[in-house]
Amino acid sequence: MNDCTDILPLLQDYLDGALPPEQRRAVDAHLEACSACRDERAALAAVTAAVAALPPALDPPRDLWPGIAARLETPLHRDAVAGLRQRRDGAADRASLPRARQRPARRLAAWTAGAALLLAAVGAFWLAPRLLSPAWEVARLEGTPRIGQSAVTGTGQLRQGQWLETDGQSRAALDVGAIGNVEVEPNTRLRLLAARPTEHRLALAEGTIHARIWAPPRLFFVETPSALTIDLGCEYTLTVDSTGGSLLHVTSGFVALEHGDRTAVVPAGRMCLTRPGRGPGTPFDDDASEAFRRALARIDFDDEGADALPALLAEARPEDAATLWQLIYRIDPPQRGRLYDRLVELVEPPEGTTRAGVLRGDLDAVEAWDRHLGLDLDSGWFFQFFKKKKAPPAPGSAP
Amino acid sequence: MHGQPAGEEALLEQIDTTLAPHRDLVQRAQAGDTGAFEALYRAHVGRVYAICLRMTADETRAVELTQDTFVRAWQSLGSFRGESAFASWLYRVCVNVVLGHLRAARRRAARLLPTDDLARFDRPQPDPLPGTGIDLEQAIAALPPQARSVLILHEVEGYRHEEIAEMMGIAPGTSKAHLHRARQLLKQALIR
Repeated sequence: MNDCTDILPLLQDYLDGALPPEQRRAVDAHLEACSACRDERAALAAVTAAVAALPPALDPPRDLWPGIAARLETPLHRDAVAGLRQRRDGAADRASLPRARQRPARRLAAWTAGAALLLAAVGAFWLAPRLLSPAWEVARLEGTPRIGQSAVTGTGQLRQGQWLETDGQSRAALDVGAIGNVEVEPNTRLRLLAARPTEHRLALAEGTIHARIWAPPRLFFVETPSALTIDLGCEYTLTVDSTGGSLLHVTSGFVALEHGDRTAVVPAGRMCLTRPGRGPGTPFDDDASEAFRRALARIDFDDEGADALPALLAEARPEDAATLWQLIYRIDPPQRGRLYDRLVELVEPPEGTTRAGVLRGDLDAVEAWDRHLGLDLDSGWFFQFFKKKKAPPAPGSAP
Repeated sequence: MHGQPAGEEALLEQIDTTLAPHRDLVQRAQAGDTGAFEALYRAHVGRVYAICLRMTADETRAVELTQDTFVRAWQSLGSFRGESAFASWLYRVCVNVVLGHLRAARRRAARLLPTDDLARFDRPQPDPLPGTGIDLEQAIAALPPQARSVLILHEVEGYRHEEIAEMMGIAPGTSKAHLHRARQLLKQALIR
């Protein structure tokens, strides 16, 4: 084994320490006598050393966490979604729901009947191919939106798993199967997670979308880093910032926000903030004062209920009554009485309800107040879409 | 490996101190705590991104695959039993994600251009190294995809040929041949 042609093929294993001792000794002996093979060994050793010396870690071009967080389905998320599906299918375990959120079964019956009616009316012939499509149609509105690496110049298809991105100059429109459409504003990143007849789901990592959905509730979901947005028959704008927090503004119908055990039902004309790790805050009127919003954020996200409540109550207008009502079972029990007392200064309480009943969380009182403030979902999903901002009941005095 | 001598006990203590916070984070993440998983992401994203970037030589793809890796890891956390270090497990998830992507890309290429001679697509890309300077990362990026994958897995990530062969669905001898080719091409680039 003294020929270079025998030695050269062995140099790799020689450098890797993978040669049996006998062959290794033969290579050693050859290298001592052959300068060409020594140069070859030195060159290969230099390559190996250079590659091994590469930094083991490299910084990605940007923080990738928001995009990842938007795609994580937590066990709590999974439970929440499973619960919603159960409720949609009429199999809700009503006893497991928080008392204040329990609803009569007739709402489910109305939704189910409504869904059947619409499907029959629209006709399977037109609807089926669109519902079954595993992709959404994308149309360029301005600039050059991108699906993955491909520029969208006219129309395109966003398939499951693909990203749609807009830069500062571009906008796009999406057809959500046959159930609605979504406009994608500049500087937005979203990913299509599911396009199935029973579930349309996207992850909004950053940016702004306007969604207009006319399907039965709970078919269209948007995951953000701080909450799951569930359509209940509605039109809304959703913005996710670089920290993963979001602002939802509902312009018709209802939207539910969920994170863990925190839920917020946001009706038309109201907004709601969400924060990573905390989920949704309490919905507020889109004309609420800055001071009111600041006090509400301190209560929702900074656990400063006792300190911020006086400012909130002082700033509250009749249009903010729904916020006070939705906050009443979120805030610490000792504060509930003060909230209730301010609430009934702003709006006439519904007939048959009492302060004690509300503070106890009596189901009848809770439902009566929900209906009174336009927060009930009993009228069926096909009417929700047409629900616009509601004026508060006339001011009155405490019972 | 360690700059100063340490008794076995001190070494074990040091290992425990280093790994304990991660162990706690992993357990919390397994229970659904996204905050803990974010901390794991922050600790490991650089290494994961480096694997993705070096194996694909495509920054956009590397970003996507890095995100896919962490999503896959989150979904599979239940199967992590702690027999190995979390880092080793995560990097293995990453390698599988990247190799799956590369396999799919090759299948797509095969469908678009029906031919049995896939090797003809496995050529070095045009010289990205104009001028006299040499950037090793660029030279690696210019390697044929399979040779590049084997080089990164063997030389940077420390996998053995048998492990690489299993992950890539090739014979160990083929893995060695790819490594040989990668080293030869890099050597030529270095001495150019």
